[in-house]
Amino acid sequence: MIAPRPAGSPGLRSRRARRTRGLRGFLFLVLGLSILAGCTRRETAVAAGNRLQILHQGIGAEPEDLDPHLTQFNPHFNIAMALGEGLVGYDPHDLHPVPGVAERWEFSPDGLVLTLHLRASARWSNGDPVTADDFVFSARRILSPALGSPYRYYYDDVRGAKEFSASAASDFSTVGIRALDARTLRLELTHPTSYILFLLGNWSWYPVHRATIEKYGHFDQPYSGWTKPGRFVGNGPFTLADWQPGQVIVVKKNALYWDAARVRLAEIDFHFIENADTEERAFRSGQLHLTELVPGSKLSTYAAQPSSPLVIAPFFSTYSYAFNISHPPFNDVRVRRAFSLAVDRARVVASQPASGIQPAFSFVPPGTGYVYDGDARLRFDPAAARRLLAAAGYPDGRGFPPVELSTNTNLRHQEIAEVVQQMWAQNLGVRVTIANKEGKVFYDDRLGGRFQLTRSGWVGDYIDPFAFLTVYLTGGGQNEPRYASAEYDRLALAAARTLDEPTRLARYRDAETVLLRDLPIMPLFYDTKPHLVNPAVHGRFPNLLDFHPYQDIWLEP
Amino acid sequence: MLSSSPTVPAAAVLEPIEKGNSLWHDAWLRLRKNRLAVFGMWALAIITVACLFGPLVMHYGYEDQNLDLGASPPSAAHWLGTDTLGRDLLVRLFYGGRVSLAVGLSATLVALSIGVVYGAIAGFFGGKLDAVMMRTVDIMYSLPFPIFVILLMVFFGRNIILLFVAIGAVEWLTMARIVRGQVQSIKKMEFIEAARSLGLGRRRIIFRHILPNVLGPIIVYTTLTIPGVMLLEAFLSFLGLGVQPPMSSWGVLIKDGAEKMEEFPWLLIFPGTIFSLTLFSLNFLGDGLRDALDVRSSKD
Amino acid sequence: MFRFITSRFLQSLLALYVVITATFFMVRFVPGGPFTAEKAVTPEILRNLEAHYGLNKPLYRQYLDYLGSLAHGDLGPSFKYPNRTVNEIIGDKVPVSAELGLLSLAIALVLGIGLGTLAAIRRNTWIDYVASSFGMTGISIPTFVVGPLLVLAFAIHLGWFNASGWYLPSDRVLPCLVLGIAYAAPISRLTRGGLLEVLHQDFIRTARAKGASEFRVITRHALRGGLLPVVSYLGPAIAGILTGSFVIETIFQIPGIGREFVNSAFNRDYTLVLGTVILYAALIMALNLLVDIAQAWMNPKVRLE
Repeated sequence: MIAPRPAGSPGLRSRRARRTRGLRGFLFLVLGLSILAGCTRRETAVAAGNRLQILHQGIGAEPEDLDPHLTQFNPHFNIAMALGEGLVGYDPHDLHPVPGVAERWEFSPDGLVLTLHLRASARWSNGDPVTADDFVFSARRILSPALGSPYRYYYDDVRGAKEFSASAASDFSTVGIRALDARTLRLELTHPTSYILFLLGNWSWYPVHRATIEKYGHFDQPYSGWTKPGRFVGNGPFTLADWQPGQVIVVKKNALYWDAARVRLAEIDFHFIENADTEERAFRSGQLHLTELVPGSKLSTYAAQPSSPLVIAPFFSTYSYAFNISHPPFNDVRVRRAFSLAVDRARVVASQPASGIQPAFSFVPPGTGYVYDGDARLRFDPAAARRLLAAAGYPDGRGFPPVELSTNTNLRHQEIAEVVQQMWAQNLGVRVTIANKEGKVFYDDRLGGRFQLTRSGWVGDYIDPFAFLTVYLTGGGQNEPRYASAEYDRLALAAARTLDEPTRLARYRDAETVLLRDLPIMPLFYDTKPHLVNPAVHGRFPNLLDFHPYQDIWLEP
Repeated sequence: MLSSSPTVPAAAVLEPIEKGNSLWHDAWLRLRKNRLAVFGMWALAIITVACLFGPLVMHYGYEDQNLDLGASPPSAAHWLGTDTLGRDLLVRLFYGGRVSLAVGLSATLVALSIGVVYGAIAGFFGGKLDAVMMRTVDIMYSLPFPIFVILLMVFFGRNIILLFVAIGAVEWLTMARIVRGQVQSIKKMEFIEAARSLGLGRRRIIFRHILPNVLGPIIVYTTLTIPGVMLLEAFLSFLGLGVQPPMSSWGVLIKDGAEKMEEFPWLLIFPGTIFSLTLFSLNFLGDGLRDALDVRSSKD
Repeated sequence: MFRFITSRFLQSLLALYVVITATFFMVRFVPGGPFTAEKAVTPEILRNLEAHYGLNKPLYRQYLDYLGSLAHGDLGPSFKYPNRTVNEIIGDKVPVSAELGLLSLAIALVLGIGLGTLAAIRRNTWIDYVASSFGMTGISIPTFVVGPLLVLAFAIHLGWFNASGWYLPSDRVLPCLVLGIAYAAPISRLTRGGLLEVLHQDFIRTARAKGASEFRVITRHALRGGLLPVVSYLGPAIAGILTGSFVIETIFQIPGIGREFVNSAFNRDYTLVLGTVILYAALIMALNLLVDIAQAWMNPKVRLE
């Protein structure tokens, strides 16, 4: 601090000098104390964590609740996975279903009945055995209309589940979930479903502890508070130790977990850090092993580092713009095609260096063993785009009505919108305005159909093309353009219900051809999910859904 | 505390009324002698002229992208470098300056006029009127601003006028409180009493005798308001009100530059520098004006 | 004095009621609700959620219910954090913001008034220029730039502090410094301006003529009148500083109430918006009352009405 010497009267000078000296002394004291307390290059949280097997992970915003049936956001699935376990688990490499609470299972020949055998050693964190009845109770709870779980559609393929959850009065015995005995569970499906096992591993299928839930509220009462530290009972590899609001959730290794011998981490600290820049700085200063996000501007810097902590996995996600197909000008498929043909997706991707995103020439992202190779594949052809637009009555964009592209405010969304806006201006002569909207206004407008062109993204819930194609079925909740095609519905549903792999994939292609011809949305690129990962973290593998079972993770510098 | 004698003899107060022109003339002469103030004036003039006419002589538009170039540091082709989409930063600064200067100055003027008149009336009349007016200010302070802005847009659509309404609605409040506090302390002074006893009208007393004596804090607070307004505009852009891409403003450029300051420092340094330069100039000019208009200090 | 405070209290209660009512209806007319999300919520789930929170009742009924529970000091459950009540959230987060705020306020007052006074009494010397430049720089560089810069220097390169979090005493240093400087800058400008108004007044000359030391003249006489604009500014400023700063709490990941002021609006967390608004309104009215009392003390000619 500058302490200027004032040229006042002698008396003043000495008195002020004494005062400033006092002040300066105080400041130095404060500074000195804080340096002693905090500085001297003490051991970082990451270094201490490596020693003690404590993983420090950023998970974005604070979760609403730890109830697996009410978990809403992808990052929070990490916590759910630490605290609970479903009938099946996932292989950390490619996420194929592996035994979880169920040690084995078999399908009936027609694929309509699935019988699961639970392991005898599965325990709740309070010592109770995990039984088939627990799963029946849990299914009844999540399907209850009163609970209002956003993820009940994971049970849609179970016989009677949709009907039960549609009305409060119906009888749960009509639902095809039965405990044959304490360790045998039978599921009846409405139709053969190739990916049903994958769904069973999802948090919406996790069992919840009946006695605990009923102790703190009615069984289908949301947010009764049974998940608070000291109350929570789970069946996962970790148990809830602490939850400091606004700061951190701490989970510790569960000694009663049936596979505890495999779990090497002693503790996981889930830090709530909403801001990507803050999180990146925390990572760099040694407070985090693992980040949820990476700021876009930092990607290139990290990518250029030798032995970079940047991990970019392909993500089962497509970034698109959706059209309002009920109103002019986008009710004309020629206009929609022209808009899609006018966008050079390779250059859109180039505007986001080191992000690993890939241009999308179809809707379903690669990675499932299915890649769309039909003749409706999207392409970049400005000349064809202009011809189509002229045919629709707007030669060189003349007379085109004012059009607005909505995005929620975010630097990346804005940059991409600016790049595409420029391409439309150059290749079509159409001037599109970009409208930044505050988050909830944006979602409300989008779900309510109040848009002309809007940003739209989708992340698949399970590894099968149907996780994407299901979105644009007639009347689908996330079908923002309100697309309705009987032909598409028929083809897509028929494909999903086919067990034979080659036939199923061929049928998916027919369905996607219809979608890409009608083009209610124009896919732009397949997205990625970058993270920063400290090199001490082992046993964590990039995969399509960004699921990382903690049973396999350990720390070793 | 010593009882404060009248700041200026009553006769001196009456002087400016008769010799209004010479007061402003004297002030102007004093201002011209203040080197910092003159620097501030010139700098502001140059920045304004550059923002208005700079784009006319540039080769690039504010939206012309060069994705192959991407973010590049200052060079012969792009004097201040380019942003991540390869757009020329200098041109974007010019265009952004038009928005920021227009918003900053006009919204501040709106806030200034409302705040000064409101505060002066509340302070001068006091009593029940003051209580009602000041509790209204308290209420305005307390209403949730993001909600207010989103509601404005819902009812009136996206509109540049709304920008001024939204900013004006919050920025005049503190000004009103400051002016009220000053007026309260001055209105009981002898020279005001003298003016009253001479039978001058209230309006005349407020505007001719009281306000000139509280000009100092008003000018200082005005120079504090302008940067606040410019940065507030960036927040309003976030809510969807204000400039929409690809157009930009200084506030938005600084906010975006701050996110990239380690990788592409020029994206923060240049907008930050011009922003600071403008504010320094305004402050120098403000201090100079304050000195120049200060009848009392000139008598020393 | 007693009559004045009682009357102000009643006035403020009325103003508070207006604020609550206006806010209650404003948040309801904003598009999107607490359950609006990226993923669509099916109509029957929405109905159940609305029933759970009583949002299915007519609006006037909800309003009366809210006032009813408010009369018992109950601010209701939060929509965003359904396991917690607004009372609990405020109880947890306000002390954090207040700690941050009080430390920053101390820095802001010492630095701001100190530099402003120096600048005024050494007007148009290099001391004035240095002090004024500090003020102007502080005003023109926003906290979202200063904060990350300090983190880069002291947390990442020097490793003295944590980059984020609010656990250790040392975690307080950087955020308090940034917030303190941000408020010190305008205070120093206002102090300088206010003092210059006063320094040439006759009572100061009289005091000097009577042989009072310069120090006594400044602290006893000049500052009392010269700080008037600062005090007017401080009412709302202290309310702002004590209820936390959205930017600082975001940059340093501090679990304070400041972020909730903005986030609750973005989350359409109706009850939390109202809770934070009530908190802020009560604080600002109390502080403005204190300011008026302080102004009367600083200038005996101002009568409390």
